[in-house]
Amino acid sequence: MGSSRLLKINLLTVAAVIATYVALNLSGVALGGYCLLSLGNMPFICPLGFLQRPSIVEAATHVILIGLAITLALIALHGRIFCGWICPIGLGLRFLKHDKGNGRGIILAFSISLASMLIVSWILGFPIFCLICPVGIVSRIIASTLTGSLDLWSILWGITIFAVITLVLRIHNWCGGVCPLGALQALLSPLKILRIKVSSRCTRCRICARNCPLGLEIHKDREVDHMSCTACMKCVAECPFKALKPALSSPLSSTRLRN
Amino acid sequence: MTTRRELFRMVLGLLFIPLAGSFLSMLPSRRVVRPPGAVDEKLFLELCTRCGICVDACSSEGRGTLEPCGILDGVSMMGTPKVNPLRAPCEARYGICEGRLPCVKSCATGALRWIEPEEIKLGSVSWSPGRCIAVLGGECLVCAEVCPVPGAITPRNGIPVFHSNRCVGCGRCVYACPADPKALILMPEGERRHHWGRAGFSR
Repeated sequence: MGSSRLLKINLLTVAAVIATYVALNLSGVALGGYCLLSLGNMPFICPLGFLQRPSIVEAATHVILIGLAITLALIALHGRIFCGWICPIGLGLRFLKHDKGNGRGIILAFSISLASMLIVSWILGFPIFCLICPVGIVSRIIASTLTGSLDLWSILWGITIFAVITLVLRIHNWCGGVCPLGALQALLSPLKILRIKVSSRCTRCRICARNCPLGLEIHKDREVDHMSCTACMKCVAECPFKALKPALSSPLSSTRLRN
Repeated sequence: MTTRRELFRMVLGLLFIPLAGSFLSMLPSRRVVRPPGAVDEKLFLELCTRCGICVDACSSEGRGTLEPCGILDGVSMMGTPKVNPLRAPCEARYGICEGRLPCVKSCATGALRWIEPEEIKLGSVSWSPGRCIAVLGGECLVCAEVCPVPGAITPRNGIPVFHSNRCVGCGRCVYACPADPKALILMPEGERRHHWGRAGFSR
């Protein structure tokens, strides 16, 4: 299975998730998108959208539970699987030329990004990330198309944000160290049960690391790097010796297999 | 060892989102008419995650008066709901949504909270006599005819008189006004919002 096939599958998964909530909205079964989806009285709210508010809110704390449960379930499966297969921006990682990313320091950068964003949000009493969240922008553009209230300005705003992320910040920096959504998942990803394992067939040819959109040094199998793995499966597809494959392991266990 | 790339990424994470976000949140914004049961504006902007679910609920179960604020209302307002009587009047009071409030029920963030029908006041209408057909010599009392609130619009000598203390801000008169441009605008003046106090929320 080559990378182009993986790209097609990824396009399908991103489209399928969007199609699912469009269908739910049109049929009236549920309302909303990525930020908030309510199935009857069961609200699913984006955990990061919820975390950005200061603690003064007495009500609506139960609403986080389903969103958190879905998020934790995805993370428990394979860490940042949302980034690799559901996020519309994460799709952009597939188009990266090789040797763009630099795997080291991602977790540190993520921690700094998430902490500074949350602290400023709490101080201002305003969800600052929601203004520029690309996932939220996609969700809102689709929602306002469905209700017939889409205006040109929100499309232009969306294009601006996407242009800043892809052309100015560069997508490998965004997905590998800045995006607080990715940060939240990466920091929780020691819980995951599926991990990419390197078998003894590995010759340390580094083809996996060169193909990794985030530049993770998979052949070294360092634990820190595996926390930011988006489960894109590119390394598995490109390994000429078939030395890499996802395998079950117990959560919280070290991914260190070799030095 | 920290390379230049890593350092760049950390500085981006430390500065870009907080700086861009707080700059955007402080840009000036317009006052808009919020859906029924909205908490007071500062808290509203904090709680609302701009998901647009109330707008969806309004268009599928209500009259479809809600729309998301655009960038012209202010960057910090973008995606938050507003009542636009030019799309449809709000029927949270005197109409199909009375006692149902699909927008409030769909909101899981706490930005819209349950409010009794008789407490609803979204704002009041503002009248520009210079555009009013009745003032310009025509025969028109459409606003007074569609108004569901007793005593909110009373005709005097063929000219409507507006009592903003009675007005609930449903926007029926704005929607129905045949003048072009409209002689009536819905303003948030006199709106009733939930306030956060020591004992929790009050109106």
